Amino acid sequence: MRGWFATLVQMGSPVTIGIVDDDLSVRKGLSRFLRSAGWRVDTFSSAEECLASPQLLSIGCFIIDVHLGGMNGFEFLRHLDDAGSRPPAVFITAHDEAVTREALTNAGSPICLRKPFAPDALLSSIQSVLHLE
Amino acid sequence: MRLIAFATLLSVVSANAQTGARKSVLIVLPDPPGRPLSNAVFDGIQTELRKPGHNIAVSADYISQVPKDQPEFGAAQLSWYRTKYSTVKFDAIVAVGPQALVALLRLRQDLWPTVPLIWCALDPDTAKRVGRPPLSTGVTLDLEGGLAQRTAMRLLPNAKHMALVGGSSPTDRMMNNGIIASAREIASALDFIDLTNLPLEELKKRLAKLPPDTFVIVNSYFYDPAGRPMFMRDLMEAIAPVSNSPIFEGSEFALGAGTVGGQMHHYPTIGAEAAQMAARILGGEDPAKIPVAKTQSSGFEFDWRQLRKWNIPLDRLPPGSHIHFREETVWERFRWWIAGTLLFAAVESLLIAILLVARRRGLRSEALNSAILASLPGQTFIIDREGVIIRSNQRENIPMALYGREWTNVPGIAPSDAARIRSSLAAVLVGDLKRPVIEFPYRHDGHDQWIEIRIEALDRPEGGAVISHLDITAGKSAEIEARRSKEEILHLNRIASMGELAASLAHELNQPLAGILTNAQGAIRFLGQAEPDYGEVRAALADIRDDGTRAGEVIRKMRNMLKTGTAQSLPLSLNEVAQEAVALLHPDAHLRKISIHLELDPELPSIEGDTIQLQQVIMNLVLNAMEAVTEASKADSSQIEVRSRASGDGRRAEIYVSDQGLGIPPESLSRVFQPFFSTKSDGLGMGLSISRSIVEAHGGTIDVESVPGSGATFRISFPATL
Repeated sequence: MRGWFATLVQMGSPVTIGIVDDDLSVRKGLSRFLRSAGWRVDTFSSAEECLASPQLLSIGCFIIDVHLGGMNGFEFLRHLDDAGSRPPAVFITAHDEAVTREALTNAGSPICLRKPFAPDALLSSIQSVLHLE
Repeated sequence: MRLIAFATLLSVVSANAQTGARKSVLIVLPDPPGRPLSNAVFDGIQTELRKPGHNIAVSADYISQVPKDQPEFGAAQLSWYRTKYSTVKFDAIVAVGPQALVALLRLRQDLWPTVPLIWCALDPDTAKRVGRPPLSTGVTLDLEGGLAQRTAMRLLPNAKHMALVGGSSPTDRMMNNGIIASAREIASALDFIDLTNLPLEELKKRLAKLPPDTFVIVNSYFYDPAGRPMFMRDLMEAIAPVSNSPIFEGSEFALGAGTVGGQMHHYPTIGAEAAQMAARILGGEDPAKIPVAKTQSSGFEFDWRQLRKWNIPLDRLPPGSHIHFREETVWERFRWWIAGTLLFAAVESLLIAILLVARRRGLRSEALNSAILASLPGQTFIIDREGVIIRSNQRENIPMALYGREWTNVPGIAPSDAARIRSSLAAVLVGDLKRPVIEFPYRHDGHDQWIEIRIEALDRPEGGAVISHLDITAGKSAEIEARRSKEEILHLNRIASMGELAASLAHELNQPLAGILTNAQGAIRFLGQAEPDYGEVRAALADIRDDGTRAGEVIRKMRNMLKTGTAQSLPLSLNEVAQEAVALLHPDAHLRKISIHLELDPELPSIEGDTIQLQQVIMNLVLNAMEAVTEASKADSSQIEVRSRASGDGRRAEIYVSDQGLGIPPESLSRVFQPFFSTKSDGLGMGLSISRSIVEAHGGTIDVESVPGSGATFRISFPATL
């Protein structure tokens, strides 16, 4: 872990989880569920909105929808990468076509959950990318 | 039983399989078929258009004139043509003769206002009347009105009366009126006798009693007063023997049947000229800029026997006239000379002469026949009325065992095809059938060929027929290839839209489902905390309610689309719908080695609804049945039955789709029509649910019976239109 994420985690601050998804139902459900599990949550309806947000720097883990309006999930992650550090991220997607699977493989096969997923699987994925288990 | 994801929503039937720049020409001929003049022009057109280098498809049709007292005939003909050609496009239309042109012009504004028109074999009077319709050009006969009259007057300068024989159809009347008008202009001193529009018997009586110094002109005679078609040659053969005056008629088709003769036209050349114009227009030329051509007469032709009969001296014939049938009179003269000179020896000589001439003629026609037979492509032969081969061109492309008294089945020809050929032949030999054309596949030496058989009755007292076999494999292969690629496109379309719908449905439903799951899990967690946050729980439940509504909305929208969308409600035949659905799936079934047996009730009442939607339902049921059969993979059960049936009281039309697959377990029977019920890993389980929506939107019912282990039968049933 590098950059501000490493700093955040090492400082023992409670991690804020950023949800980037263009679907309101998904944002609301995910946000409530993660809060019920004790996380702090910020939601964004697009990659652009997130990148422009002052909250960006306080986020320690992203949940990113692959298909966003505008910039897609992978491009969003690359933007953060270029800014200096690769944040831990869990992808989610409502699509399961060959195209999506290929895109995931090209992006280095990050963890990706297919909607609708079991909520607890999301918790273990977050713990896994944050190396908390 | 596997229920597969189905959903070719709408419009799969729109593949356009037209290839490249192939153009299409319609040739419109006057009713009734078989007129020698029309046939000659048609041959000329066809030969020209089919020349290599022209990529032109030639179609032909007959058109009828609208009888004066039957105005509804016109509307019916228009509606028939409209139906017949609703899906066929033509790039040019060629009208043969005045009758076809006039009839066509009545329909053209409604049917083909923008298709270029080329006329041919048109008489100048009609040409003048018709003028130059938009987007048209053509070939007009270069004959002045009263041409036959001028010829008659030249040959019979002392004539005092002119009788006109003509038919009764609108075209006949129009053309005959033109002749009457010009007759007075040409020679006002001639007394005119009107013999048009008379029944044949009456006409014969009048012709026998014409005053001395009369000549008879036969002009347009398409139909007699009873509305029966009349061929010029038949007419001439009926009237010439009884007429007491010479008859003049201006077409080569009557020459030899009793006309004295006159100025002739070569009709195949006229057709070829029109065809060349059509080709230029298809190549992009503006029809309005192609000048109307005038066809020159091919010269004067006369019947020697008629000239002699009416004592017409040869020096009155126009220079360059061609005289036919001179030979027979030479023979007659020869006979009289011998009879006058010697008695007994003369009789003997006469016999020898007869024998010699007959033999020479026989040999010559024999040689001619053999040459014609040998020149024909494919196998051609002549059989007697018993079916025994009496002559052939010695080429054999299918075994002759197919014919004859002791015919046998021929390996490589399906017995049903062989039976069809033999029954057609039998019908031709007794005169019940004219010129059948039969195409059938023939397997020979491991190759599949297509053979076309044509049978033409021999016009002679002892009967018999000419049969020709032509190898049409090349053309047929192209046709099959074109059809196959069209079917492939249809198939791909169907698969593509199924996949698309499945994907978008999945996406639309996944989002609210993800919301529901996470909200529910969140609410459970909040409730499990030491001090539950009821506000969060309440909000979670409200979101779950909203997401549930949203998911329901997705399904409702889809059903609505199926129910109303572009749905039509028109009278339709479920038999035709089932036939089409099965035809669309035929390539699939063939690939999977499944046979679909179609059994349609001819008494099935018609219903109202949307053809495409009902086709989808039947396709879905058949696809499911195919899945079931494939899954069962029993060797003896790869057959699917599609049956239609009127219900007992005749008030409902029903379709049954049966398979002999593994059947449906009793506990699943009630659920198969529910959305998302699927036994297939990649199935959405929407097929039967959507089918039920469609059927119910049509006021119908769908149900299923199944005996586990031995198959399932789905039934859809609709109220009949009253």
